[in-house]
Amino acid sequence: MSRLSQLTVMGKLTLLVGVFLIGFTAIGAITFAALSRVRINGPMYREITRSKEVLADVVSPSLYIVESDRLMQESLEAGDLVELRAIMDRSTKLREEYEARHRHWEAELTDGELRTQLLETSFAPAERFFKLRDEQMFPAILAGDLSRARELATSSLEPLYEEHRKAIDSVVATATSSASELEGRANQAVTWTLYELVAASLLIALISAAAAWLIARSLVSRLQHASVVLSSTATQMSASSREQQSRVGEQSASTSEIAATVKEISATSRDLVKTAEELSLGAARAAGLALEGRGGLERMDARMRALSTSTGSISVKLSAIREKTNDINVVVTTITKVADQTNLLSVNAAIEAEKAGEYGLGFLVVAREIRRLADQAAVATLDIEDMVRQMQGAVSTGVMEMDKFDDEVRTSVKAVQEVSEQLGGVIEEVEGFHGRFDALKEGMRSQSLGAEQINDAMVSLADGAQQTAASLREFNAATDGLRDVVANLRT
Amino acid sequence: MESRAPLMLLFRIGEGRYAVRCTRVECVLSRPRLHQLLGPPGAVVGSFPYRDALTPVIDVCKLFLGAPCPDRISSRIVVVRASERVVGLLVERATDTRALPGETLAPGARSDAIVTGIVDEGGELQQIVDVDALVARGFAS
Repeated sequence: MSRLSQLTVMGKLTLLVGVFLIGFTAIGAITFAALSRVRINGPMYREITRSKEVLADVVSPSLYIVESDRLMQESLEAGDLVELRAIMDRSTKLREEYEARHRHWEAELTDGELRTQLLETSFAPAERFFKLRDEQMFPAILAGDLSRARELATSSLEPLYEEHRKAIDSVVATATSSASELEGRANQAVTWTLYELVAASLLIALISAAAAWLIARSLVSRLQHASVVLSSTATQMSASSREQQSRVGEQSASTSEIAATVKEISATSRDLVKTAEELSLGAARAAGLALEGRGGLERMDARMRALSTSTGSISVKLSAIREKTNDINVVVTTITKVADQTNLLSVNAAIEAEKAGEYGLGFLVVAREIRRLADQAAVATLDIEDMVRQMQGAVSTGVMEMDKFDDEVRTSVKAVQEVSEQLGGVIEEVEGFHGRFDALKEGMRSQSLGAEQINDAMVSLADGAQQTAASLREFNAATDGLRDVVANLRT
Repeated sequence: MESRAPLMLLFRIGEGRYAVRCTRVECVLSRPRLHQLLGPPGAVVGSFPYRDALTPVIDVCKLFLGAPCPDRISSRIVVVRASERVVGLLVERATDTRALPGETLAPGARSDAIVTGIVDEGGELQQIVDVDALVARGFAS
């Protein structure tokens, strides 16, 4: 039962059809079997048995030696030898037929009263009859001893024939009785078969009905279960759809809020786009300024380089001047030496003049004059020496200053290059900014566009929500209807 | 002759102005290369060949100031004869000769004093140096 309920509806229906098919097949099989047993009494059987009966009536019975007995009697009355020979031939033929038939039935018949009667009780006297006739009587006739032949016929052969005939009679009686018995059995078999058929039909009908009842009951139980489930589902659906309806209402409200928010976002993003554009312009201006700055720096760099070159040449010139001052120094030293020697000479001359007394007075004056000239020269050379020394100092300072300046210029050039590179980086970055600002602007614009689209979508969503609410109301009505139908189905 | 002031050779030692009588001076020479002497007495700093004889040189700056005479063109050697010896005196700026009148005796001068007299030349004092005393001081350790 539980296994039956587990089957699907299709399975159950298939099972039902299967049960019916098996039933019908069984009935057909039983009918066939019955027919195969009973057809012995059919119209064809009757026709065949009738013709056999006719043949049995017409053809001389081979197992009954009545004709042999008649021919034996005739042989006693035979006129000539030819007639006798024909009779004897016929008798021999009849005996052969008899023995052939006997062998046939010996193989055919089953053990029983009929076999005993036919093959033993009737056969033994017949064989003795044939033996006595062929071995003693016919030779006696042929020998012309008719009296002996007659005596044999009456005393031996006739009783044997009589015994055989009685046996045959009893065989006929037995056969007749067995045939009637067989007929009765056949009739009984037919009757039984009919009973069996009726019983089988009833049984199959019962089984089919039971199967049908079981399957129907299981189907109905399933249907009932399904209807219960359907009913509860309908209730649930109704409840959930009501809930949904309320939610849709809430959703509608929240979509309105979202729409408002999206509008705000749209406005903000538009402002942002404006700001981004301003920023972009600013960045572009900054890039331009940076470019100009770099140009200025490059010019400055070039000037610095020129300056560096000039300081180099100035240094060279200063070095030349230093060399020249050294030359001047040499000359001045020479003049100083000459002046010194002159002074020395004049001093010594004055000393000698003093030693000479009155005679040296004139010479003393000359010596004084010479010394005066020498002193002037010495003073001049001292001045020149001072000047040259100052110049040398100035030149040295100048050279040092120049070197320092050159170093500073080099450092400046380096610094300018670095600053230029940094400016280049700044320009690159600012240009990058420019591109990024474009992307940002584009993004903002698309965002604004998207916000507008979202706004549109929100509006349509709100419409859709209202439509959904309407359809949910319809759905509620439909579920109510469904519940009614299910209730009807259950009753 | 008596009325005439004697001719003096002027020189300096540091900031001080000094003078010697020209009659005591053999000659004035440019500073020569000096031969170094081992363990010379007093302020003798070396010797140089003068008239086929090695003449000792007294650095007067070193003698009186403690510092050697600056290496200048005007630093010269004044060759003098004192007590039968010829000696070179290394002094500064021995470049002028002048007749100096109005010599007065140096105050507090003793018999062995180096400065024997002073001439006031309009505020500028010229000290008259006694050659013999100077040389004697120069050789004294």
